[in-house]
Amino acid sequence: MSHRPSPELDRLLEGYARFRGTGWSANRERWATLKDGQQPGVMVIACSDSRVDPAQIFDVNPGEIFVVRNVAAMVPPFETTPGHHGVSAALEFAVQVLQVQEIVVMGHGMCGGCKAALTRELHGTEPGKGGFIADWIALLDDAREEVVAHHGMEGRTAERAMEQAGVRASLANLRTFPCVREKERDGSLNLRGAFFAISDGVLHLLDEDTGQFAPAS
Amino acid sequence: MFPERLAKGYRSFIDGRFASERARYQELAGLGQKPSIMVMGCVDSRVSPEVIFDSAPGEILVARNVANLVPRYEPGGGQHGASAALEFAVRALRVEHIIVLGHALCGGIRAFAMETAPLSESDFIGKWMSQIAPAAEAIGPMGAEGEEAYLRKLEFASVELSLQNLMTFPFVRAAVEKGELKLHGAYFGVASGKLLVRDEVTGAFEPVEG
Repeated sequence: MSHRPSPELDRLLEGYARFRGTGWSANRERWATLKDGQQPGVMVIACSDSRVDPAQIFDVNPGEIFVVRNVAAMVPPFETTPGHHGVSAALEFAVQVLQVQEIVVMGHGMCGGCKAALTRELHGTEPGKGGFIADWIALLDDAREEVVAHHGMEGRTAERAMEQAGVRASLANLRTFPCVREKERDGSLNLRGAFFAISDGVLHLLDEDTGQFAPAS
Repeated sequence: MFPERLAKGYRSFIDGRFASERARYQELAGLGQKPSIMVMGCVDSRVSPEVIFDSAPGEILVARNVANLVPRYEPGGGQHGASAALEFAVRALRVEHIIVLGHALCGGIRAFAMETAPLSESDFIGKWMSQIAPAAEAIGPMGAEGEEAYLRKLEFASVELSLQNLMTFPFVRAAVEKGELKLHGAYFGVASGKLLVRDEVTGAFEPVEG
């Protein structure tokens, strides 16, 4: 993508050539309908992490899932203060315009954002030196308290507990949006929590009655 | 109930991609991620960067928001999702490339251009998309070219604006100036399936081979 050679970008463009050769030509009919608009039934909120693309993990076709990706798969609570609310805008688009029937929040193992939320290692850093991440993951502060009380701040058990608590926090925040609450109440929208463990590929689903995650069958 | 379509897709992932790339996933879990590319993409269901670039797990860090916007550097005051992802990519992972990936038929761009009525009192889409006002100003009002051509122009201009906004982040600018980071604009034509890449000299979006 630049005039200077770069192996990384070459690799990306080779990938694009494969997409043209297979992904596009084999699904030409599907793409033809997609040019008239998208109608995904599901919105997925996932992490920016390079290992956890929902389109790959759920092996979906183009047009099937509407995807927000940010650090730690987070949803800030409903608030009407001025400012740019990226996730809120996406949520409004998915729920009000596209009328998706499902929203899935998917956390994952070895999440750098959740780890930083747990250790607070970036707390107090300046913007550009960790401060933007620190402000963002401060959304997990309440969830963190409970995790630390039970599991401490170190080790995989504490980290996983933080990663899963993050999913529960985002689901709770989703329910602070009036449009989400209303549609969940009348049954036109379902919310689900999920967790992808990278090393063994196992997807865990949250049972909201027990608050526990268990492997999907 | 978990969405049946996703449960089915997940089983196919486990039998397909995961089965054939198990070692890669284990390595990625053990050593952590080390992507050298970050893509700022749109939430639109038709423009998954991993699909368009047929990329493997671990290759690209991806932030997706409505209309693939990078906000301006704005320290203090509130939670900035895109800025946090950017900071993580550049400062922690030290990616070497950032690609702003725009696309045709973008609902966010259309909502802004057509001055769509707010969907709620909070008007989140309106507030979010107001960030592209400088891009609209740069190309001027819709003229004789018609709606489709105008929207395309605005889609290109907003990629351009995001590239400019990236440079307002001191840590991005510093990395670019040191030659450690390169910024790129790209655009996916949903109807044609073609990728256009912004020529860094002329600023024009040109097709690439594929």
